[in-house]
Amino acid sequence: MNIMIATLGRTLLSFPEWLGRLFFLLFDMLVELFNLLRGKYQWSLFGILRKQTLLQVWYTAVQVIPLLTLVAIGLGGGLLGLGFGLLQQLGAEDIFVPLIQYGILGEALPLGLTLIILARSSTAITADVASQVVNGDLDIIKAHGMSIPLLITAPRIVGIMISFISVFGIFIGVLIGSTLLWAPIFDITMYQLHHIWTQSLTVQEFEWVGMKLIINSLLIGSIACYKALHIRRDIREVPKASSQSVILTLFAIFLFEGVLLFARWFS
Amino acid sequence: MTSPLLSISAQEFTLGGQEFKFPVVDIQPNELIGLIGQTGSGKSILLRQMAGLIETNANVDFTGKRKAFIFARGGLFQRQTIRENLRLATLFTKLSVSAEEIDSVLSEWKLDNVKHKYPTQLSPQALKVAQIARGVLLKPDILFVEKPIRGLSLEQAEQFADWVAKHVSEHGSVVYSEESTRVFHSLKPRKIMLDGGNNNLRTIMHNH
Repeated sequence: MNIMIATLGRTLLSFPEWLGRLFFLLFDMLVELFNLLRGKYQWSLFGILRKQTLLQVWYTAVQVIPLLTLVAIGLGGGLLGLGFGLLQQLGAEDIFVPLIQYGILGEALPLGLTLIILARSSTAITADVASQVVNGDLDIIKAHGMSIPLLITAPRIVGIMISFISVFGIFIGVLIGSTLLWAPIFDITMYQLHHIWTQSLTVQEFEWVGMKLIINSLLIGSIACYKALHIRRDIREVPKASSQSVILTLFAIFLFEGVLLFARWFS
Repeated sequence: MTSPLLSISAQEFTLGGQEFKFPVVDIQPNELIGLIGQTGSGKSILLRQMAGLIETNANVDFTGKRKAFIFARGGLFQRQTIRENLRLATLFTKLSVSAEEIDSVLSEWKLDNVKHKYPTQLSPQALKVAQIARGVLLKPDILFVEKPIRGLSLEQAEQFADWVAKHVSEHGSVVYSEESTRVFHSLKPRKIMLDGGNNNLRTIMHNH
């Protein structure tokens, strides 16, 4: 029991230290991006960064689109058929819009997308970067005065961030599109549908979701990169780092979800 | 005497369960230095410390602009072709290197046929030559080389020795680690002998 409490205590105490490490990783990345912009390195480097970032977007966002499309179509049917239909029978259809706005768009959707992307990309990024560490790529970078933040961190974190925003946009688009198809089946008029979406999709909600997505993408990308960059040069360390990265990211995401929820609704 | 191009302070440290004790090492501009010692004497560690790859309590003061490293094995990004590897290294410098210049260096080192291949598709010998080509292209103020001629053909080793001689006389310094004192012997390097027995380092100066 004492050991368990001590382990828990150590984990909690190490959390601020972890936040500091992630902050410095992101800070270094921003400094190097700024250096690139002010001409410390050659402009052609942008082409290489763009290629690597797009590759990350391809793996994180594009390849997940079929799965997300199916989820969005199913969710559209579920929301209209079960949600709106049931509330209508109870005469409580007025609460459907706030339910969509705050419950689905504001909270459930960002968290759901984060978990899908986390499951797909966190382990992949960690294993990818860790294999570069094991292969000695960091030595090549350091020995030739190249930049680890620009070659390793930035393409992945920026790629994840772009992926989050684009995946969210695609998901919302498919969700709205699917409700157009589902509406006649559940006897919902176009006027009602128009009312639901125009009332739910507010600028304020998009700002909120955008902020959460950016924070989550930074957490996924930075924790994956950090864990991978700090392994020993031993191939057996790669799977260990991958699983640790996922667990740590999950913990961090749920913690930030809690903090943000509290900040929004109880402050 | 001019101020050193690279200076590494005296140090005592333990790495991998082995104790090392190195005195101050200064490298002057246009100097060829050989770190000579048996396996386990710490020559590669000292070389990698100088290049900033291993951090210990020693202070490394490098006053030049560019450095390059030729590793004994690997040394190239596996996800990029040979040509892309060379180009990427130049993008982090102020050197304006044209595509023609890269191709010319690749051609000079007989890498034309493999320049669009990935390192995993090449032999260790070709990889070593590709690393040399990168070093040539970067025109470094200091070039670190692990086991300079190991894996090279006689012709390639001679070509590299000629380039090292020219580079040292015209441009920058070269530091290499090697077990044999015969490597680059004709170029009269300053040899730093590392004694693997008691891990103490002693230097033997050879006049140029």
